[in-house]
Amino acid sequence: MSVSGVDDIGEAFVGDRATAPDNEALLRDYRKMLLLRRFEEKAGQLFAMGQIANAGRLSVGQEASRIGLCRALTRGDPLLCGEHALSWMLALGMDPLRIMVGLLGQNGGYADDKGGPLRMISAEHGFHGGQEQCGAQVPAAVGMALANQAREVGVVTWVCMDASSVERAPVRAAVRVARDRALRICFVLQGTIVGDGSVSKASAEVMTSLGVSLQSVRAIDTQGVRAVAAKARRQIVENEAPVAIELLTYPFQGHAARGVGSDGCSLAKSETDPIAKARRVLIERVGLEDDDICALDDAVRNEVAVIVEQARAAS
Amino acid sequence: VIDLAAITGREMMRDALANAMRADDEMILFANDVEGPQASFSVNDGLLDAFGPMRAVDLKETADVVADVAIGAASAGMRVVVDIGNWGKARASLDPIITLAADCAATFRPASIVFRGSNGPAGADGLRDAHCLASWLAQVPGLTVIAPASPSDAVAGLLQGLDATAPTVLLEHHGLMRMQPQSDASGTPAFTIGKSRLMREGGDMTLVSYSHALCTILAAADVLAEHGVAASVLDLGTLRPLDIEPVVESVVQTGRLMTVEDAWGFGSVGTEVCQRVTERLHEHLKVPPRRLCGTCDDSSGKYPKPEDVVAAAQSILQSA
Repeated sequence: MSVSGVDDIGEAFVGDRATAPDNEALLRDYRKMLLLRRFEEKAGQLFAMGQIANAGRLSVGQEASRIGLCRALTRGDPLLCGEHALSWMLALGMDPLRIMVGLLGQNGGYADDKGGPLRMISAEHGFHGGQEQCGAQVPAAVGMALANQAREVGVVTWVCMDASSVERAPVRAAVRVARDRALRICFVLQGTIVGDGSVSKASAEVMTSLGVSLQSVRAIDTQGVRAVAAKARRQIVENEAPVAIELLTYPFQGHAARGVGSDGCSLAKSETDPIAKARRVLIERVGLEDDDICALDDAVRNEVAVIVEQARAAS
Repeated sequence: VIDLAAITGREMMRDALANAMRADDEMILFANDVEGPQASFSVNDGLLDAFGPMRAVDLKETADVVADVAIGAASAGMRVVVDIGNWGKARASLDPIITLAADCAATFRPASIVFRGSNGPAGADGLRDAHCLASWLAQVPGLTVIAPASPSDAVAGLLQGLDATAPTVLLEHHGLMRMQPQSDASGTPAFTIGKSRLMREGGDMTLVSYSHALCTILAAADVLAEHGVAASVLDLGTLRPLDIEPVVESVVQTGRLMTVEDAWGFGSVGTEVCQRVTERLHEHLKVPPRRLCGTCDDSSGKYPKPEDVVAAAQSILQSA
């Protein structure tokens, strides 16, 4: 499968045995993607039941982009995001129990008794919060990159946003500040591939017009996303200039409010769902059986159930 | 030794900023226009040369995001001063101040950041820029809002705000930086964030103000004294958190309250003071509290003068 104008690094990577990840890495990423999905599904349920005031926006179908990108971060790199805070926190390795305690508004979670995913930060994990207002995290991230430049700290700041955010004037202004001041920052745009396989080029055109190079990639493979993000990080450090990457995923219930296969999408789920795709790779390459996959899934479901139970008991 | 007679509030603020930046490498200044005409009172003159563009950050090409970007730097642990220019023209900055700085500080993320700029009605400027944002911003949880009445109060507010962990807003009256520091009344208590100050004690009535209007009521209190009326004068200094106790204690003694402010009256700080005092001291009040506020009835704003305060005070005394 290839999408017009988009680098299909995921497929290329899996097909390249010489640089392919080892089985352990594939299993580790698969398990982590499962954790993100099951945790978010549970958060969605609790929100629907009125037990969580705000679950933010979920990232079902975007797990590979979250985990892959976080694998490319260097210790100390700050990351800021929009409303999709839950998945980024989990991908950065923050404690799921403390996240759930925070969601439930209990003391002891990342949000203490304030509740909601947009009240959580963990400098230890490099997570500096999610913002509800579209694109508000972008100027703040630029300020953070500017502070780190003034301090001569060699970290790269990562700011994640919906691709459409670049239409907003404050976002464009902030990108110009980053460009003019040669800041070490990576703008991570989350784009959507619609049913017929086409991708809006509007965001790429805006970033290009602002003088920031952008690479668009289909992001349903953790190792592929990691490779792209690592390359972006190298470019930023070597060239002392900001870089943008656009991580494209298919619309799933949760992040784009549409079901897989809608809008005439004829692709198999294993081509659009990062978890289904990783499962196929585990079966074909690693030799896992269906029973092994089910056991993994059960283990993660059980892990999330225990987290919810413990979080409720934390009050 | 500083020769106070030789400097104005502008130099005092500039020196305070420079000294604070010299003492702390982690302090950074953001401005729409560090040394140009958009800077408030040209306070930043010389700072670009002294500290370079990395610490005196000029965002004139992208002025609409100066507050947003500065908040990001504060989130990274820097101590940040933002020259907002004229508050009346800075409404693009209110969005990040409220949604990023104040909301975050009120919930989970401390930040040492001071937003400073000129504020308040100025008849000569016409109505377009003549906005006092005191009551707008004093409503926002998470913010500390200071309306200094003198240059030394402004400097104290700046330095104390930088040492605090909540975002601080400094509303500097148009005339403030042209005042000379020695015009501060001697013997008055030092400015402290969150503390109202009794500037003058008298048993006949209580006059309450903030920012430049304090000069107005102090002048009025002098005239009233000549007519045998002893007025207590209180400076709120900080509008959020509002320290109402000294006002309440004074009104218990006098039974009469008048608030004076340059801002427009609808939902003003004076309105809040009168309401809080009325809730607590209904039975102590000899007459209903009175507000004297700025108006915008014609093409330029008007704000209370000492003679207006004297006339209103005499009217109150005649009624009870």
